[in-house]
Amino acid sequence: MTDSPSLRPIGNTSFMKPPQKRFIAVSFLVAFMLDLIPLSDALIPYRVDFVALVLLYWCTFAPNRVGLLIAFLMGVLVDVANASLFGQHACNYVLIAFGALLLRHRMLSFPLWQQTLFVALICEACIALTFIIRALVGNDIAVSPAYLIVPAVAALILWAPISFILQYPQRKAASPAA
Amino acid sequence: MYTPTSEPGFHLYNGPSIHARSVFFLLLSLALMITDSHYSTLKTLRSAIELALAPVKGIVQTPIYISNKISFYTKDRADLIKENEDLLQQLLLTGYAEQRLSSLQEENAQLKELLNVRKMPDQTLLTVEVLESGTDPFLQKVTIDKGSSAGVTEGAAVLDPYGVVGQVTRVMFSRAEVTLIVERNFMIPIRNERNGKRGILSGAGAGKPLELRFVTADADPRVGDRLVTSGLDNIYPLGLSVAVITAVQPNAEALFINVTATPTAHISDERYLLVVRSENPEPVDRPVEAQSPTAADQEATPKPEINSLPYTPEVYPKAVPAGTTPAPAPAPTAKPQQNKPAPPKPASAAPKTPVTKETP
Repeated sequence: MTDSPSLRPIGNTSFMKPPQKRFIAVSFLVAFMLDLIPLSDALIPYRVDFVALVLLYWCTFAPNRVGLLIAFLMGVLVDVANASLFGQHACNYVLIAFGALLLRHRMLSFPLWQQTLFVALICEACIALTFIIRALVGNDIAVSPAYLIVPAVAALILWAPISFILQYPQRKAASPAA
Repeated sequence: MYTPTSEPGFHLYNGPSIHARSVFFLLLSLALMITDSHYSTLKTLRSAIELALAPVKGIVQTPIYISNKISFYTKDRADLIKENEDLLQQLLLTGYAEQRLSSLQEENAQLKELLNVRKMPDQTLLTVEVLESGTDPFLQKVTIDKGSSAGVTEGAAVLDPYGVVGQVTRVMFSRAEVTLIVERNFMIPIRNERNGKRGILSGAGAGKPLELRFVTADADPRVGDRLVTSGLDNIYPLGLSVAVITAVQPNAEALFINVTATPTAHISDERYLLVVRSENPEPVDRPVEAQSPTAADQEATPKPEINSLPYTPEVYPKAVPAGTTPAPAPAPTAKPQQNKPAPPKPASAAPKTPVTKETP
């Protein structure tokens, strides 16, 4: 490297080409399928919502491709697949997308591990808000605390691998040119 | 601020702000939630999406299904032998019980014919496998592997060997959703087996005992009483075990006693369940007008009380030839009046939460 460190960009993520639509669709499909894997009763509270994480990723890095409408539609799909109340996941995902769209510029200026904290914060805030809304709509909230903790912990652990995987095609496309 | 990830035109007017759009979608999802929890208007939309998602679900679930099958076939031999022995013993006992039952049924049918009691619709049982418990922490629901293609209907009762598990609340083509009796506000009409007092048992949500509501002191509930289905709703066959009373708290200030009960069914760990199918549910609504002279006459005579006498429902699967008409109707003469002076009870076909009155 001949240039001084100060001239180097903070992250390489903001200089990548926009992702392909097909790749976004495939990533959502895979996340959706991961969400559908049946688990035993004991493991159900620890289920990780991959769709939420992928959605958060794309709302941060491709806000022109994936926004609130996609979030809402994915939520409806997940609601149907899980046989849960219509609009429950939609509400959750819209909140996640909102959080990501609101904080994305700030997030992008941070290194990956700090982004992870942001992401965990967004996930936690969303799950808390969803619970409050559902309680107001008139549902029970007698549930295991795992439901409140797992999304944030999952985000902490999985944000780095997910960003790595979802950036892979762009990085690959960028590397020969560079 | 320019970001290379954004497309040209990012600075131009891109529609309403994020906040406005978020609020819009949030309200939309709230509206969906409220609509879905109070009305059934979204049913067709949901089943349409369900149909579209079926292949994806199939792809995900096939490997797990296959691995389950493999682990079943490669079960330990010693385990299998032991299980087989246990089952054989159970079969002996059940066979004995069934012999007695069939003679009792015969006798019961004769007695009922003598007394002119209207017969219940024939019911058959369908064995179903639980595919998945709900992933939703708020709802007490399971999905079973048979749907409208196998004759499962909305409102059908779901049982396990130990008691009532719940009720089918949503039917898709090849699967159905069962709401468990522990679901909040799920109601089931019951009868106290010890003293015959009737009441309504309702669920209180996950991890909480069932509540017996509107019980007055003279109903005399005691800890350990078994609550069985009263059969008043035409959904649950009469006399199935539902719950056992675990606590009775007299309340000096209120009119009613607090009674809680735990379900007898092994609700969350049964893998196979039974769905009660009514073979000819239509005639339940009204007595068959075979010998009734005029419509006016029929209006005047009280409908025969279904539950005026205990009866044994056809618990065992029974081959019913297609197109069988319901059993010959009792002549609606003066018999019902002599039978019971109670006012005619509107026997609605399949109400989700049947309204029953505590008879004084």
